[in-house]
Amino acid sequence: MAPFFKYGFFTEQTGLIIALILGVSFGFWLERAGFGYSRKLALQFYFKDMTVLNVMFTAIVVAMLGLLLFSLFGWLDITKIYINPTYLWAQLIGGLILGVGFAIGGYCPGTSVVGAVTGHVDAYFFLGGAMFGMFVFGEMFPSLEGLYNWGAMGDVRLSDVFNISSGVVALAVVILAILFFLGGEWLENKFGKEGL
Amino acid sequence: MKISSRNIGFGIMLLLGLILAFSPVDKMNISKVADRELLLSQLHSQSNYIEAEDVAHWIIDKEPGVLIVDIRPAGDYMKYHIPGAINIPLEKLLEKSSLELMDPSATLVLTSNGNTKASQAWLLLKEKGYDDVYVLHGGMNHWVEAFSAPRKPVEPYTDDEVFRYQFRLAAGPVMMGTARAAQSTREAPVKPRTIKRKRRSVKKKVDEGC
Repeated sequence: MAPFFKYGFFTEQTGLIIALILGVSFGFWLERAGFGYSRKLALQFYFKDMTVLNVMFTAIVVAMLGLLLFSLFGWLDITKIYINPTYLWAQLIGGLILGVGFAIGGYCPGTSVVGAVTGHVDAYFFLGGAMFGMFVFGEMFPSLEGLYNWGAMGDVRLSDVFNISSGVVALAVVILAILFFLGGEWLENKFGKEGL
Repeated sequence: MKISSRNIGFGIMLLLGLILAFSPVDKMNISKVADRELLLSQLHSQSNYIEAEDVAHWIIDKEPGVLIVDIRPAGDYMKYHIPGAINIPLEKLLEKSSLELMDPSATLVLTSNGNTKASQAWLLLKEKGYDDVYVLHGGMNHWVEAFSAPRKPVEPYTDDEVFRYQFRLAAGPVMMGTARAAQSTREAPVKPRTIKRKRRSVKKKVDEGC
């Protein structure tokens, strides 16, 4: 019965070791996919190389189908899975800021670490900027607290919000993903796939 | 006709999505049996216990969202209780007025004289749906012993034991009130608060994310 950690199959220390292994392999495969390279990542925003979109959406769909099917087979208690709490407006604004930073800097927080580890100087600048931003946010937190909690909805899932079964949501997300894949391909052809 | 691997991928995704759309995914959740297994394994691994020092740290740090619930009879509670604790005798635990006192999102620490009654209350509250509930390890008996007359570690001792002893000495007056403060004068001068900050492993769920 999964999640293994919540059922006490291994201790917190073992969990940390597993997290380390997962984290290192995550970074490794990001690098191998070319995500340690800001120019490739930035091409996303000019519709010339939709790899990021494809990778992220594939990951989302695989994880979603896996979790739901495992729960359907009774292998996994999905209610015990941690869900990021939703703060609708705060996350919208935060997402926009992150997107702008992504387009300017060519990295997102995860990939900037990958870039830094492989020795890209721009990634160090990006990381420094991210740290500085965290510091500023932390210092300004009292005045930003209202924004931070704006649109708090708790640990909700799409199926809770729209009051439909999670299977139907899964199908909708799958269809959405396929449309995005096809749309991405179309955009790549239209704006010309640029070699690196 | 040759089918591209891309289309195979799309097909598999759609198929799995369709299966899910027509299957009772949501009805598979929340099986009471699995919950009982989980509770049992937590009881067995003693992960429902929290140590007296950790609770003391929470009290000193004024950790928000922590509620100490004393489940002993009201008389015992009046004699002495942990600073900030509220009293809900075990037999009144599941009454509506009692449940209203306990915020489901708070971190509850249950204390009784020993471990047993608090563990029983723990089980009841967990089944009631309280997520973040702990049992004070050793109960009030251990608490009073730890903070009113902390036992000096005997050699050979580890740093951890020394830190714990010093913390108990320093925290004693706060935890036990004046009785402890009056008698503390004859002891060696209380060493400066060497409170070893430890991030609790049993902290509330942390944010996970990209």
